[in-house]
Amino acid sequence: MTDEEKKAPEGAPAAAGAPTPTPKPAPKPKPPDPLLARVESKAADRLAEALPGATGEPHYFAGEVTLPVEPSRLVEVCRFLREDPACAFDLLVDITGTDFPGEERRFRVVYHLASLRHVQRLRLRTQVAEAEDLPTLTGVWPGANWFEREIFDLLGVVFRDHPALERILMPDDWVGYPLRKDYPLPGYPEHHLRYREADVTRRRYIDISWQSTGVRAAEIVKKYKGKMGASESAPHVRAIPPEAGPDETGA
Amino acid sequence: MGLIEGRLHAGIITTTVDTLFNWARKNSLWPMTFGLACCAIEMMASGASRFDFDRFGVIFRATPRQADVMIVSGTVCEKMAPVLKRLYDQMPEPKWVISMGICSTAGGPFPTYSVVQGVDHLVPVDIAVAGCPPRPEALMHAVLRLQDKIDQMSIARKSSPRKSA
Repeated sequence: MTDEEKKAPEGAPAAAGAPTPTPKPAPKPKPPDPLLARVESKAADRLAEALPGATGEPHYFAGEVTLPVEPSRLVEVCRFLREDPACAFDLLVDITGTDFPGEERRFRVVYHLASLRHVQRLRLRTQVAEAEDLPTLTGVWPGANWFEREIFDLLGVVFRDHPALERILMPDDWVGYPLRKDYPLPGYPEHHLRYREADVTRRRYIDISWQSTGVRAAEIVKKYKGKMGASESAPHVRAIPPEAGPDETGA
Repeated sequence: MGLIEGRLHAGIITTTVDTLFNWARKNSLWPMTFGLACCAIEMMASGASRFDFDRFGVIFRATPRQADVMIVSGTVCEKMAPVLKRLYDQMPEPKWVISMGICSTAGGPFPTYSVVQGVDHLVPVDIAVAGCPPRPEALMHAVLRLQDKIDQMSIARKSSPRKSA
């Protein structure tokens, strides 16, 4: 590919001005781009053979294979990839999620698989809209549990039938999903207020997160409703004293 | 605390007691380690033989109940904030806080949703140490300045409460 690129700019002015153009050599077949070269993936072939139509066109890049999968067939595909002896993807390395706000189905969730037996890797990519949910893979790889909780925590993707879909990194009573592209980097100041309002001189503060560790956010809201002086509609959000004007939550 | 504090007006008794108390307090500052990030490495170096905080009576304790001063060294995340506050509340009076490094002082390079923008939102800070992370000399300087501050403490009754009473 580098040879082709070098020749192209030289060839163009020569053709325009030079009276004696050298006879053009027959176009050599372009050497395959090593980055885009199709790599041997027994698993991808095996999958295409066993479950035709379950995955989309494989994507090759840098010696890696990515298969697009529809959410509806995700569990089926993953179960096959794990249990088929020719695939034997016994290790779920990671699940990642990315937000593409412009797209119709804005969240891309990517599963990184590895087979220790066959020393091969595979990547599955699926896409899900904000209103939809994904099936959980905890039934296939138990290790998917915390990965899915992380994606739920930071992106708000819901994993159907997950055994305990709770926040894992952010405080339990956090509002919003910080890794969404439309979430401001500094966060919303009112979400920090429960700490900032702590009366440090009298050493009095509302200790929400500590007591509620492991409790679902909804239960916390219920439990502390009325005790926090917050509005009914947004119990986490407290008015900013004292320079703030009318309470924006309308309490 | 509380038995003699604020009962006497400033005089020869209070100054004598102050001298004794402050001497004892400032020369046995037991910090509770609150290592949260890379600043903790410098804090550990401060306690080790080269800088040797034991010279100042600074002996690190792993429990808040035996500590006089909390050295918050590192980035305080929102999720850590209630833990920090609770540990501070568990320390016996009198107690002091050293905020070590720019992260715990003002959020540092993390103006993000998950980081508390300064530990003074949670606990009263006596000394803030600049640096990212501060050298052990800087932390040593902070301890010495805190000793100066402790030297100014008094058990004498303040004048303003007497007026209102």
